[in-house]
Amino acid sequence: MRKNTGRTRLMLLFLLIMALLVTACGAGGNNANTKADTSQENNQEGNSPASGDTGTAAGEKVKLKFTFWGSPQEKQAVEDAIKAFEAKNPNVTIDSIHIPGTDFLQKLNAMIAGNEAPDLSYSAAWKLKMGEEGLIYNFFDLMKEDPSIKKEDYLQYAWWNWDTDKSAGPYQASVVPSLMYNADLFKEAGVELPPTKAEEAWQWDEFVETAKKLTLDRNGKHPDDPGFDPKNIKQYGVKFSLSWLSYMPLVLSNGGDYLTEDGKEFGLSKPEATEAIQKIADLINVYHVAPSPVQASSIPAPATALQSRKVAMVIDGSWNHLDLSKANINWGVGVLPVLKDYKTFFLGGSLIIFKSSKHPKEAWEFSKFLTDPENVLELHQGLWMPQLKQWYEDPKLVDSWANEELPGRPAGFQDAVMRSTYEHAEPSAENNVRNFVEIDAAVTAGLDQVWLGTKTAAEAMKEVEAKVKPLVKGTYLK
Amino acid sequence: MEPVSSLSVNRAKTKRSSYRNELLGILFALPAILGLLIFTLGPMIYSLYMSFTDYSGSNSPTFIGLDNYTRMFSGEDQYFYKSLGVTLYFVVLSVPTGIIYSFLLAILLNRNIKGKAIFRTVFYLPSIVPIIAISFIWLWLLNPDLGLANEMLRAIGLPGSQWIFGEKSVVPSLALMNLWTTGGTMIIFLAGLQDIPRSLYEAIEIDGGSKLHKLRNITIPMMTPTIFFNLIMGIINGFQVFSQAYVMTSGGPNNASLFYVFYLYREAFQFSRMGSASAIAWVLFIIIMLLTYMVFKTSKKWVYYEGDEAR
Repeated sequence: MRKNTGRTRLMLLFLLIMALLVTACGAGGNNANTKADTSQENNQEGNSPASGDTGTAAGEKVKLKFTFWGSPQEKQAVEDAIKAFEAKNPNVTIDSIHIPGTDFLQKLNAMIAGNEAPDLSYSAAWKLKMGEEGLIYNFFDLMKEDPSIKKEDYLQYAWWNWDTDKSAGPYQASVVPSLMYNADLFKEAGVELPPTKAEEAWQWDEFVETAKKLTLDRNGKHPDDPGFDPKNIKQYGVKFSLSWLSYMPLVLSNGGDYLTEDGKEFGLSKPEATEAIQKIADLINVYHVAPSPVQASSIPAPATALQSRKVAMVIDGSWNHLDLSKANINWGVGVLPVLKDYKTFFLGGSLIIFKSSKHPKEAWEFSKFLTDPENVLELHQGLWMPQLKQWYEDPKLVDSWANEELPGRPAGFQDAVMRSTYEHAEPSAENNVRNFVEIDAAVTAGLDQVWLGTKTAAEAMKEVEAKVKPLVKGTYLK
Repeated sequence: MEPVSSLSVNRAKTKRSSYRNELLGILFALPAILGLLIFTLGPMIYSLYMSFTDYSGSNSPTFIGLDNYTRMFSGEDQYFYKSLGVTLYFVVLSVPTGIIYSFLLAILLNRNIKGKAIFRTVFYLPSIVPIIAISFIWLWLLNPDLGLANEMLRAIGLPGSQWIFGEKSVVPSLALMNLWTTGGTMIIFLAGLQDIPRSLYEAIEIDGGSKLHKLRNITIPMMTPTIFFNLIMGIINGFQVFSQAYVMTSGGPNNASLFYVFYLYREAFQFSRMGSASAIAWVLFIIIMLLTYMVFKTSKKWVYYEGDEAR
């Protein structure tokens, strides 16, 4: 008897605990399910939120959850914009969650899986998958319902699409590849500053010659001098970021592209592209005017590198202008060097609105507000550039963000960065090539060998071509 | 614990108290048991399920059978075999060197030398530094242009190495760096060494044996259980190497340090293929299980347990 009671009691206790646990979990699950169901129904009823069926009546209290990333400065500016939006729309409060970039997708996925998805969010290339999975609104559908905005208002290639007629939105702001330099080093070397007009862009040979004059070993010798010591270079003429952002303008300039024109083949293994890539590799391994990945590992971020005279020129993203304007340095911007034609591109992220949002109408309004340069003007005076055409054409608007008196906008900015990109913009690889993230991983690995000089660009890209063949599925433009 | 008052305790009472003890024992272990069930076993089973699905982390998983696995083994996913090879290479290099190095270190630190405690602390210290910090330190030490490693090689007239920037030298470099962090292994060896009875060494001394005899005939045989334990832990940790690749090399150059877990991470968080990443994780789990099983099998031949003379 006693033996049995002991065992029974034990069993009962166990059961009780398990039962509590199961019900606790179960209850949570049920709630979540109901929530998900209702939101799905909402979506089915009126697939576009702007239709008004699902929109919330004016005056009702609405809370939006918004996830974003960015530097402390960007965070501050975005939070200011949120306050301005809330002041304009007193019924809306925005619960903003700042998540550091490296953890962003992980956290966002966890929120989605827990039915706690935000109403809207910053997003990177992964948004296209979310689009395919039907998690986010098609921007084109939202735009149809709103007469205040049209596709033509935006830069032609500013779109993140997951299909020809389905879009995860235009850039919320843009950045561009940019050539930045330390003017003092040019003066000391007695070299003319980089041109600021696209028509006057350096031909490649001129660029190499200039870079040579700006490269110094520890004895102050230039690469062409006898006794130049390439192992001990004190100051490099130029530093490329070595990512697609930096080599693609040159590939485009030489008539190449990421994919072939019909989108059916990998383009970087074609002669026009490999020639351009080889030219960059030669800067490192033949002319010794640019640091290899090994040497670059001990060179700090662009603004500091220019300031500390490790490099004279940097070709990297224009977001570095902000840091440069804060550093105590006499800096400037020039147009990129060319092989044939001047070609470059805009790039940027976009705001996505989740279909699980209960207040898509307010989310849409907020996304419009935040992508309007007017409301985050401070960020457009150093970190970002606008994505709306008007801001490049209306002199008054141009003056508000690109005035060369602004600390973040050096002399020549309007020609060298704004106009040269606006007038010569091509689609950027990142948001137009299907499977870009995966293709780029293979390309980056292959290019490692090119930059280190163990393989030619043609050899390495031929190998990459075979590897990425199943991933090449054209672009979202066609 | 009920005090046992006399030998005449009746059986029923013993039984009763034994169930009480059983109950108490389970109750006390319950947090750990529940923790295992909820936080380990549950997610594991779920990830096994996910490995048969197409799941991006945000959509709802759709069942696709063995597709994730066939994609890996057929070589359609070009990184699977590559990462497996890289990881095996790392394990083969780092495990034996790590064990030998920390074993020798433990023997040295077991001697009666001045400042023994200080030396022990100094050699153990690196293993309490987070691996991320260690990676950054070594990033500088191994810098081919400015790093201390090449500086020292040049000082004695040897050519420097590309270290983590060379396709051939990256894995050996990381294995070398791994030696620095074997303080934990060393401590276990040290504890094992102190368990060896003095009398055995004295016997050898009486027989006129040398130090080498002591090492070969006493120390090493008596240490085999500890070596065995460290070997298993080394293999498991070796296969799970990740942070070094993440911080120092991003898997490069040209995927030469694309460790298995880094490959898994990339699949999950860069390419948004949670389903496939789960399959990759399960394959790793099975590989580690099989290897551990094999090492266990061979252990009968070389591991000596005291008081187990039948062998």
